[in-house]
Amino acid sequence: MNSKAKPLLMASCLLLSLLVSTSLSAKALRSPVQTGDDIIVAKGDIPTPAKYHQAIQAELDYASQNITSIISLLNQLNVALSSGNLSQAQQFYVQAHQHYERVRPIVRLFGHADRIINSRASYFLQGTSDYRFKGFHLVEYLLFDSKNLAAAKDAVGELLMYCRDLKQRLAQEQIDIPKLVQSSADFIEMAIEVKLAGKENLYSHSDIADMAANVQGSQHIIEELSAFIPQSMLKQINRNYQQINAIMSHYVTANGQYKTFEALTWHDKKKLYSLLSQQANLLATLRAILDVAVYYKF
Amino acid sequence: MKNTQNLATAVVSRRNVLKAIAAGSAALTLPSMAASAPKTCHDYAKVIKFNDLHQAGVITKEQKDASFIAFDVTTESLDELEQCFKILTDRIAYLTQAHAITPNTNDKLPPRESGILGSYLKPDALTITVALGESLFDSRFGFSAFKPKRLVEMKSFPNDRLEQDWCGGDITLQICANSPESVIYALRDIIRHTSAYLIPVWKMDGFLPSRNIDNQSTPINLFGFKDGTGNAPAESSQLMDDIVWVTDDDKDHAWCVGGSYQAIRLIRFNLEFWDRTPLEDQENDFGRHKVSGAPIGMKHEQDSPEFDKDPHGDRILFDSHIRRAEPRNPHRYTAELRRRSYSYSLGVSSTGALDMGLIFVCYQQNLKTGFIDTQKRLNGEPLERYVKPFGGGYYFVLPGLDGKQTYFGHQLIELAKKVA
Repeated sequence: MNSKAKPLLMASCLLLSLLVSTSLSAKALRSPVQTGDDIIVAKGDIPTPAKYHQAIQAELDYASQNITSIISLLNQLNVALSSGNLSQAQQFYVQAHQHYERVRPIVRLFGHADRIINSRASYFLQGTSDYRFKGFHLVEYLLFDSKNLAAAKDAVGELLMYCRDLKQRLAQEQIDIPKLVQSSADFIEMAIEVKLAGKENLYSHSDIADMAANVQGSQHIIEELSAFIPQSMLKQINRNYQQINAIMSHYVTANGQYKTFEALTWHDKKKLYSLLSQQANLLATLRAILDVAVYYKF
Repeated sequence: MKNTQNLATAVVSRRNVLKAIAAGSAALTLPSMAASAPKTCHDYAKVIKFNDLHQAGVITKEQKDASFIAFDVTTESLDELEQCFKILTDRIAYLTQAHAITPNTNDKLPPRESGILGSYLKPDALTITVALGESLFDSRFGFSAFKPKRLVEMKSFPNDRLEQDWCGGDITLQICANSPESVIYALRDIIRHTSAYLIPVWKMDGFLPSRNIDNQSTPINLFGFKDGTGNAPAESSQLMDDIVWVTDDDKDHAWCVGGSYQAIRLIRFNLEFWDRTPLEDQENDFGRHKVSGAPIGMKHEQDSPEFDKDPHGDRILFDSHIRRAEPRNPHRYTAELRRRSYSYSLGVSSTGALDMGLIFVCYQQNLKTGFIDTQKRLNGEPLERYVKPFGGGYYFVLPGLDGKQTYFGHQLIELAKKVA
């Protein structure tokens, strides 16, 4: 890695120096230097009302717990790889990724963390051979497709590094209420967009597990916010979750995991489409219902 | 020699362009002339009545743009399906009328509508035609006893290469208007309001040449041939009752009266091959002259092919498309159907071929004596080398809203409720 990284680092330093010396357009985005008495002070973010602090902390704790579980499962995955137990390693991948999907919209709040940890081969023109293809899905690819255990071990090591970093960042960060509210719907949107098509895990085919995880993640936020949501709406939201979970429960296996995506029937898929769409529609109104202030109005 | 000629034309035309530009800029300096510049003849405010004895969009004159979308129903509850039909009817009523769009009052909510038409909804001759697929008449809703008598699943014809992803659907909508944005506006509105009950399964967008529609001439298809010359005239209501609409005389269910059977065929054209085909082959495959649209040996588009004077198929081959489709024997409109097709254009195939072709659509009182018999006559035609049907299906266009029912599908739902 070092031998690769050095020229890369040098190249990026060179690029950076070129950018600094030539890019005027970047400068234009910076605010002009203010002088004199009429200095305009930045308004900054709208502060989150104190009543939401508890819910936010609960979500951050939940995220942190899930990241801890990911780290622990990846460590177990490593042990399984060392002992050459591929099928066990595969199980650990699916479980670790499920934990990730329970907190993914929160991870997305941390810059490009999700792109580093969870890019799919389809993000890149070069697919699996792209150097940026790493994280969860590289591990998945190496475990389920190429079955290259040695390479998988390296990939898990790198993924662990990113996850530990993410955990540290989570411990220091705060999130604002709009992000928490939005995340409840984002979970559903990502389930409709990707998991319902079976495109999250092309090698392990574990999209049903991930869809269930997304719904759990969304449900967790709503539980934390339930005190603020009008009863009639909360009833509707919870009824949708129940109906979605009832369908998902058909796919739970004896060991508490989920069947592979191929098992999802058209009958259930179309029902999930309607239920998830209804839920997404409903959760999209939550900001207005809670009257969460996001922008200064001019 | 040829090259120098081309070069000469190029030079001349460039000069003409320069002249045109000069003239244009002169025009701009004269305010009176600029003011008299021709305005668009596009009537965005055009309304086509949605609630009539029959649904709009069946014998309605073709608009320029269309989208055909098939849905599967996601609920098994008859009450929810009824709700779905009511919502669909409401949306169609809303979308086909002109009105100012209600402003959004709470910006924390998603906007009420897509906004792609601006602040005023002009229907732009929008029609939305609701049809039911054969698959809806299974055991889910108790419709099986009321299935339209002629409605069957579309079976593969010998030249077909049907792809499952492009076939069937419980419900289809044919959405037509005079611009793509008007069609897409309606489509997004409907999906937004019905996603609790309906999942889209396939969609194909179609177009017709604007110049033909504007000039009221027969639309030219992607083969470069006029398509629809011999179509049954919608103005003749007797003929429409005879071949398009299900009527009281028909031995169909009473609830079907006023409806029609719809055949949709998604047909891929091999246009690169077609463009490499000698003109005489193209014309003889169709049985018409390409430019005029006249039957072979005739002068004008509307001239009769006079099959009676060509008993051996010397002039218009027995194999030709028009002779097989409509032998005009023993009478005209042997093909008891009315066509309403659109062209489509998608991407390219894995072998670099254009994915373009025809959304063949026809309406008839009886699928068997309409589309199916016609297609059977066409099986084996020379044109098959250039066409491959890959999707579509047969559907039943619901009767219109003539007062007896307040929403599309009302009578069918009531029948099923009585049994349930």
